[in-house]
Amino acid sequence: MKSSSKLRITQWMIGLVALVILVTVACGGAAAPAAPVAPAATKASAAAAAPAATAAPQVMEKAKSARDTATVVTEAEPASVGAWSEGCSAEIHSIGCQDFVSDYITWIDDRNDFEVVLLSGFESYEQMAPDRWRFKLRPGVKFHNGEPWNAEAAKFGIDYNADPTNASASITWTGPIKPAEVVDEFTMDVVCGAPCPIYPRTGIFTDFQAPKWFQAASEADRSRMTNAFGPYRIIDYQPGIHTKFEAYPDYLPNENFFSQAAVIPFITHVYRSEATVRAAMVATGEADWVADIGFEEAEKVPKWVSGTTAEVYTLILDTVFHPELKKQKVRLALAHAIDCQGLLDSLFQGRIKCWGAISMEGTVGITPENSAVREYNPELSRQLLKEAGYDPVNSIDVNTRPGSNIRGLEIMEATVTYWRDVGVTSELNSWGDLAKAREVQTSGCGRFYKLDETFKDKLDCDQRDPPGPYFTSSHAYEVATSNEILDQQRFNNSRMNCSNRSSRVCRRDLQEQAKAANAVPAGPERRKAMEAMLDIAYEEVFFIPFMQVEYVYGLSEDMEWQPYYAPRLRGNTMSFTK
Amino acid sequence: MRNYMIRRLGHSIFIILGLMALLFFSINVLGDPVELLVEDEVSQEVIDAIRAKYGFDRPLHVRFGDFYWNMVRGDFDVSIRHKIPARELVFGRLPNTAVLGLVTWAIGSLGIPIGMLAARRPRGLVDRLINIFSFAVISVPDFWLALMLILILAVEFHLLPTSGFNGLGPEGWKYVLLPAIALSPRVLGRNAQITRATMIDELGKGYVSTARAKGLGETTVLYTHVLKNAAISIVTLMGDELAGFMNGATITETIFGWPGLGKLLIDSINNRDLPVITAVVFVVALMVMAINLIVDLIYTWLDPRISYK
Repeated sequence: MKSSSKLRITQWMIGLVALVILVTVACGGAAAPAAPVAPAATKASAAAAAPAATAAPQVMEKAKSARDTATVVTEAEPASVGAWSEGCSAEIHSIGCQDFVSDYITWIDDRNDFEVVLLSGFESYEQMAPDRWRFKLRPGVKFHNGEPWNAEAAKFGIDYNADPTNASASITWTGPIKPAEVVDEFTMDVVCGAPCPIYPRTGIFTDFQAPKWFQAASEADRSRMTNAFGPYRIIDYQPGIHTKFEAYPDYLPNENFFSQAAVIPFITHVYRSEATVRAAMVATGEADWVADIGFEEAEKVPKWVSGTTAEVYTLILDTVFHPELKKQKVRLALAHAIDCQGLLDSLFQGRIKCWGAISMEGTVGITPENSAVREYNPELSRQLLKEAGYDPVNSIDVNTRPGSNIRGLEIMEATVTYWRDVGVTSELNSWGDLAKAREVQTSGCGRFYKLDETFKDKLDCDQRDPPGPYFTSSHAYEVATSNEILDQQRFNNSRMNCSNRSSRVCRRDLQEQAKAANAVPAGPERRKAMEAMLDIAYEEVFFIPFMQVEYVYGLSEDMEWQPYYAPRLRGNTMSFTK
Repeated sequence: MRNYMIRRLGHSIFIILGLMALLFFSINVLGDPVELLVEDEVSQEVIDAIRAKYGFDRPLHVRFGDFYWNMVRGDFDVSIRHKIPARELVFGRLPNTAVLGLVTWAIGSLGIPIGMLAARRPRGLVDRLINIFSFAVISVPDFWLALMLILILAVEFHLLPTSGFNGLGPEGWKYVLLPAIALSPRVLGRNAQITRATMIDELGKGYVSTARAKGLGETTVLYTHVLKNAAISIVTLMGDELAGFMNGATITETIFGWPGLGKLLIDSINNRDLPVITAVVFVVALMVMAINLIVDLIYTWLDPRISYK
C-alpha cells in the first residue's frame, strides 16, 4: 500500500510538471519583444500622390532591390491563376491572377483622396455620351507572351468581361456593357447598357488578356496562366504549393504610384490557413508579407500594419418578407438594443470603432449623420417594439457562418442575447456550410423570377408571398459586404434593388430614386443624390452595421509597404529597405 | 487463395461502384456548385447561364449516366473549381499524402518497442510511466500540437521550417518532419497500448511457460515467440492506421500547407467540386482496399493456421 501511494504521488508529480511545461510553452514561449508597430493607416502620404489620369509614356528607371525574392502568404489558396477563371475572385488570395499580373483599366488612388487613375495600358479617357466612354490606349504595351496591346485586344477584354456567362467579377461592378467599338488602332469606345457616369471608377476589376493566346488555349491552360500586361508575370504555378512570379521586363510604368516598375525581381505566393502559422513565417524570416493575422498575432511579427478591406461587417435585415422586419420601428428597436462599441471593445481591445453605414468611410454619399452609430438604449428599444406591436411569436433569427469574419460568431451570439434582453424572440443559426449560407444570402426577390415569371421586373415583391417550397426568409443575416468603387451605386444595385438576389429591400419609390441617382454625373450633384439614398437607408434601418473590417498585415523587418484601402496587393508597390 | 483474391476483388468493385453512386446523389443534394463559383451579387440570369454552360441544368439521371460512364472509363472530368482534370489533381497529391502517411506511420511504429518495454514488467514503474505517456499523447489534439511544434521548433529554436513543401526529394525532407511529428503521437500511443496489452495477454499463456521451462532467455521468449503471436493485433491496428493516413490528414495538411489529399478533399467538398471529390474518394477507396488485402495476406504469414478458401 505504501509503495502504491508513493507511486501515485510520483505520477501526480510527473503529470503536474508536464502540465506546467505545456502551459509555459503555450502561453509564454513565443512572445517576442514589443514589435515596432506601424501606424494603422490606409490613406495618407498626400505628398506621394500621383496625377489622376494621363500617363507619361516614358520607362521609369528601375530601382535595385536589396533582396531578390519576396514571399507573400495569404490564408486561402486561389483555385486558379487564370485571371478570367471563376476561381479567380476579387479577394486577397487572388493576387496571383489579379493584382500582380493584370493592369486594369483604372485603379483608385487612396493616397490621393480616392482619385481614379489609369494603369499602364491607357493614356486618357473621355465621356462621349451618357452611356459611352472613349479610351485612348497606350502604344508600345505588350502582353506577357509578346502579343501587342491595341484596340482589338482591349475590345476582346471588355467583351469577355461583359459576357454574363463568363462569371466575370467585373460585371457586378460595371453593370451591363454592350460590345466595345474599335475607333482606331489605339482608340476604343466602351458602350454601357444604361447611362454610366462613373464607368472609369467601376473599371477597377476590368482586366485584359492576350486574345490570340486565350482563344487558342485549353480551359486547363487558361486556368494555369494569365497573359496580361501587369508588372509581374507567372513563371511557375503548382496547385496546392505555390505560384512564382518574376518582374515583367517589358512593363511600361507610368507616373502613378500603382503603375511603377517592380523593384523586387521575384515574388513567391504561398498559402497557410492559420493566422498563427502565417505570423510564424514572418517571425522566422520565411515570409515577408502575410495577410490577415489579426491583432492577436500582431505582436509576434517584426512589423505590422492594418488597413481597411473596403468591407463593412453588417446585418442585412429581411425587410421584404419577414412580418416583423417589415416594420421600421422594429428594425430601429433592434439597432438600439445592441451595445455595438461595448461589444467591439471587449472583442478587439478598443482597436476597432463601431460604424453605422453599410459603406466604408470615403464612399460618395457618406456623411457623419448617415454613418452615425445608434445609441445603445434598451429602454427605447422596448418602447419601440411596443409601439410597433411586435409579436414575440415571430422569431427574428440571426443567420451566420462561422469564420466568415474575424470574431463574427461572437458578435452574432452577443447580438442575439441583446435582442432577447429587450424581449425579441431570437435564435442564432450558424451555417457551417458555405452552400447553405449562400442559400440564405441569395434568397432575395431577384431569385424568384425563374420560379414565378410574375416576379420578373415587378416591384411588388414585398406585397405578396414568395413562391413555393424554395423560400425561407433570411431574417437577419451577417455579411462583410464590400464597396471598392466607393460609390453608393454599388449598394443601390445590389442591396436596395428588387431585381437582385442579395437585396432584402424592395420599394417602388426607392427603385426609381436609385436609378436616377446612379445616372447623375460625378461631382457635387452625384454626392447629393447618393447622400439621399444613404440617408434613407439609415432612417429606414435596412441594415445594422457593426464595423469597417480591418486586416492586420505582418511584414518582415525590411519590407516597405503600406496597405491599400481594399484587400489588394500590387507587387510593384513593395520594396525592401535594406 | 486465388479464389479468395478474386472474390475480394469482385466485392471491392461492387463496393466502389455503390460508393460512387451514393457520392453522386449526396453531393447533388447538398447544394449547387455554381452558387459557390460566383459572387453573391450576380443576377439569377447569370447563375442560370453558368449552370447551362456546365450542364447542371440537365436532369439528374442524365448527369448520373454521364458521370458513371466517365468514371468507368477512368475519366473523372475536369474540376469545376480548378478547371484542371480531376485525375491530374489527385495523382499530383497522392504521393505527398503517401509520404506523409508513411513517415508518420514509421514514427508511430516506435510505439511497438515502447509497448514491449512496458509489457516486460506489468505494473512496474516503467509500465506505469509508459501508460501515462501513451494516454497523454493520444489525448493531445493534432491542431494544438501542430501549432506548438511550429512555435517551439521553428520559431524559438529555428530547427525546422514552420511549414510548406519542397518536393519529395532530398531538399524536401525537413518539411515533412513537423507535420509527421504532429500526426504521430496518437499512432504511437495506440501502438504502445495495443502492443503492451496483447503481449501481456500472451505472456500468460502456456507456451510461454514451456519456453521459459526449456531454459530460453527472456529476450528470446519475448521477441521470438510472444511478439509473433501478438503481432496479429498489432498488424491489424497498423493497417488500419495506414489506411487512415491515405485519406489525408486534413487538419495537419491544412496547418502546414502540405499539399495532400486531405486538404484537397475538404476544399472540394466545400466547393461541391464533384469531379475532384469522386476522384479522391475513388483513389482512397482503392488504397484502403489494397491495404486491407495486404493485411489479410500478412495474417497468413504470421499464423499459418489462417487460410482463405
